[in-house]
Amino acid sequence: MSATTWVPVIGLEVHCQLGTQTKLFCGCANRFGAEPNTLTCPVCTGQPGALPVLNQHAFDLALRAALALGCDIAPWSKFDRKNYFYCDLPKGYQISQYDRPYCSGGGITLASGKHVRLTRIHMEEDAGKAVHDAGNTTRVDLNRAGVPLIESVTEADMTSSEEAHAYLVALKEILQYAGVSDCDMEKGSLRCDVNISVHPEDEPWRTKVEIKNLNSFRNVSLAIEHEIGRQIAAYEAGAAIAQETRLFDPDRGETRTMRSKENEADYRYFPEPDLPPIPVDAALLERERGLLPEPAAERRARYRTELGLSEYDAGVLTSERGVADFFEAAVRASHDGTAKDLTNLITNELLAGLAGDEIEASTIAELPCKPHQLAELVALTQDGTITKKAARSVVREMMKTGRSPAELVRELGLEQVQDTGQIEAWCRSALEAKPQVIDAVRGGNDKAIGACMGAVMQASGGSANPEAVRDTLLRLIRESD
Amino acid sequence: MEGPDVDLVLETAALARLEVDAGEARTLGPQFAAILKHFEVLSELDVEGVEPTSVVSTELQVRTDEVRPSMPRDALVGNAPDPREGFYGVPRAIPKRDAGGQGGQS
Amino acid sequence: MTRFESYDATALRAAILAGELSAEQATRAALEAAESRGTALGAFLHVEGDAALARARALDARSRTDGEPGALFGVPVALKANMCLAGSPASCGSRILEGWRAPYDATFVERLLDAGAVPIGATNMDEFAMGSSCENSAFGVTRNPWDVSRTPGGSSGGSAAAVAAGIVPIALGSDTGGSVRQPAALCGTLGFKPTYGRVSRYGLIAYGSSLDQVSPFARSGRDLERVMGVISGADGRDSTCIEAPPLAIEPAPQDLTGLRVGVPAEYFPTDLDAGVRSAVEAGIDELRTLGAEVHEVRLPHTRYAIPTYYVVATAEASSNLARYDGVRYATRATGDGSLQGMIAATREAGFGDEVKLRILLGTYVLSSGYYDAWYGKASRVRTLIARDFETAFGEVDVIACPTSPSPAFALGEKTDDPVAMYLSDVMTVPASLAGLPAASVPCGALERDGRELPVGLQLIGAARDDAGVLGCARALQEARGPVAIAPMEGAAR
Repeated sequence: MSATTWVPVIGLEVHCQLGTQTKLFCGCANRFGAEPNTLTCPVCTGQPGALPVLNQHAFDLALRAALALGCDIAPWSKFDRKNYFYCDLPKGYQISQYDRPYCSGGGITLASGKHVRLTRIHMEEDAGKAVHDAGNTTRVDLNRAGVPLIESVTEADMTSSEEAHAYLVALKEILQYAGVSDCDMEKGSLRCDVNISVHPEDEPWRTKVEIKNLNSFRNVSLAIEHEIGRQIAAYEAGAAIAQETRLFDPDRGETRTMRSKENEADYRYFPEPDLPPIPVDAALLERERGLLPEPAAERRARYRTELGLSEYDAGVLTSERGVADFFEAAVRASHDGTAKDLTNLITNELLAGLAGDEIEASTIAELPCKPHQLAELVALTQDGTITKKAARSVVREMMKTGRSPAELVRELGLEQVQDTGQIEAWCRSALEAKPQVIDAVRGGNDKAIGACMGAVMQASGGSANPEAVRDTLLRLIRESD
Repeated sequence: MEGPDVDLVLETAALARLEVDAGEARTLGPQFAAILKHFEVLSELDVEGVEPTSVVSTELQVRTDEVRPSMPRDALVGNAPDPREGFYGVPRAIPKRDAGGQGGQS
Repeated sequence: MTRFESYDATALRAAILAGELSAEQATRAALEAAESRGTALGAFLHVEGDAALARARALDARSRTDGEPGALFGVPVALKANMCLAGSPASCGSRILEGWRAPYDATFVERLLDAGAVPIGATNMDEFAMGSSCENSAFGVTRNPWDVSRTPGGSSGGSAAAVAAGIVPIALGSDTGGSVRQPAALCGTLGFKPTYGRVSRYGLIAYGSSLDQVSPFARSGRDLERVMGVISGADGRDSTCIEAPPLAIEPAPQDLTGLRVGVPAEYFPTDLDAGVRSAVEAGIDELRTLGAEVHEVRLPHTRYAIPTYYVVATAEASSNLARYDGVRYATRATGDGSLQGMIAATREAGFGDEVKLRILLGTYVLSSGYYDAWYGKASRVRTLIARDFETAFGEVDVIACPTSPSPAFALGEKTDDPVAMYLSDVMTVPASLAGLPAASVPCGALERDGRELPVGLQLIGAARDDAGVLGCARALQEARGPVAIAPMEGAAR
């Protein structure tokens, strides 16, 4: 008996918080992690009589996201009310966009070449947070209520958890690069819902199920894998799949019913009478287009072809826009041919330092040392003033203090010893301690010299120029004939 | 079954979170039906191609992205029926088996 | 005090500035009247005597060198109970907001305070402004000071009664479908609903957001202009507020010579109350005497205005009132112990019958499968109604018609028949749907059961021509002479 080939059909809905200073409709700070209910006012707590006023910058960022994703911008759009009752929704409705979203179309081409189409993106306000106690109460924090969101909805173009994952990684990268959002899933600034169905190859699509509560890329993959398996198992056992919304339980790695189709809320959308339609003028669109950065994928290609970096290095440097911008600023301040040295310092020292506990900064832009200083440091290794090893020690100091590399080199005594007399003295004592090296080199084993080189470098505290040490050792061995 | 008007009132009341009981629905049902009947005159009109009016003002006023002071927490949470350590307390919003301090639906 | 009782705000302010009485004396008089006549009428839900006197004393303590005194310096005013004054109750006539105190000031309240006005309390109203008779308040009815067995009209009946009875010279109401113009007509005061967006709605507790406008009552045309000059103007806290400076406070009434007045036949149906018809016709004759030309105009979609209005307003209300869920403020009922059960029980216990009926209607007309036939249809008919007016204002400057099809009706007369009650708004809702400025001006009286009942003439202007409507209202009022204070017929004195 031939097994059925099941084809999954997957679409994603991604909520992304916009990186504004303030909320979408009031002047309360848009900030994560504050004490509960300290970032609220009459507007975002839905006090009687309070009214929303649109944050222009939130709309600008939403436009930028749409431009970065190749969407068609609507000449005007409007807000609508989505009505439902829940304790974290202060007004009893969410201000969202229904039938006139601000953009439609667009999409992302994944590294695999697969194109995932976007149906639309719309703006809306976030709800608050409900924390369910162990007892019989739920506690509500409205700090998040009113934070600006864009919700992007894809067509059901994906067929595996890998594709969904790749789409999310690419989306996050584009939104981060465009400066739209920090896309930090741990802080909830990126959240994902999945629509999923499976059908036998050559047959029509079947009932789709929505999965909510996915707060990490890993959980998205796990939930999709689990749901594909659950649906196939049900069909193969002759059962049906109900159209419903399911919740993913990360602890158990499975999905379970949240509400069925019959209980789907009737949201009674209607135009928000407190907010007139939003026009988009050409000047605003042009300005936002001008603020779009070069996309990460294009930068990666350029780093490989123009700067000769490996695919791996190009990938690390472009993982965050801040890192790529730092790198490019350093390259611009440097001589040609130093890209690899700059890359090594950035990836091995700066990024490692940021990941560790000693450095207070959390992004490369917050570090006290600046790209031009990194360029100066590399120049010092190039002209032989310091070794590359010494440069690593210097950059670790620079990260903490932002002091100039030349100053640190002097202060730490890291300038290479060019004094031939001193170097010769160290070499002689090294050869005296290891006479067998002389025989080995004479016997044709040049590599044996390494043992003495190590000793000299140690004696010099790393400051001896390795080229000079090697030349001197070879000369002394020849002369001892 | 209570008749279409009463059923309609009960269904709509559930959507509007009004705990209307059958007795109240029997009073509201005929009123509801009478009002809708009076409103049916709207169906006479052909509005094909007519743009809807949902907001009267045409210019949208916006604001700049500048932080304004939030309100003191007590001024707002202090007005709540069940303030709890700076939160708004409500009856448990999801079934007990999901306990664990996780956020609810988003 | 009786000497000042009949003063309008303009005269009272001048008397205070001239040292004839202090702001404190004016406030004290208003508080006493609120206690005596106000209580007999059920006009106030809440009087804030101490706060009002403190404000008045602070005004009296101001030195003459503190700059130009405000346009309402020392004038006691009353606010409808759906307006936010920080620290004061604003129950909207509803159990669900009983005990709630506003945590902030409305924009128009801030402006009143800045102008030196002294709010003395919150006036009674139909619950959440849903009603035309002031009988839907959870805290008792308000009575008409011309005949206390009759309604003052609604929903701003408390503010209308307070001004008509001479308790305060000025009060604010809110007009969604006629809730200021109709009680102004029934109580014999002036009332003015501005162009939608002329006054910021920030701090006005919403009923129908695309229709609600803060609207003043006064006993003189010049007072209407004065209070509008204070509360109007752009506001960064209401996105629908018109970006324009405050209206001017004119020194003299408008000259009506050559003014083109339109009279729409649709507003004079054959079954119009004969007393109303003759009073309004007399008012139109007065306008002619003042130099206006009278023309006939057509507003053919008028008959669709009531259903359109009730669909749109209840749809918006069903959403606006969703926030009363027992989570963040005011009252809560326990219900079955679940979150949704608590919400439903709170709303069931907190809302009155008419509010529930309108929430049901509004929920229904927005619900899946019915939206297009009801809300969708009504919002398109609304466009047709607005176009009628646009066409008419191509030919005339102002439209004159009755404010209400009948004089004040008896309390209880229409409470069991919502459709009959809704029809009493037939003359006022069209201008609301089109967002137009409209005033009601007293134009005489008729006799019913041996008592004089006032009649109001409505003046409707083109969008944003608030100044034109106010000027015309003032000219008519000044030509007819001072507005009489109601005699409190039938009240225990």
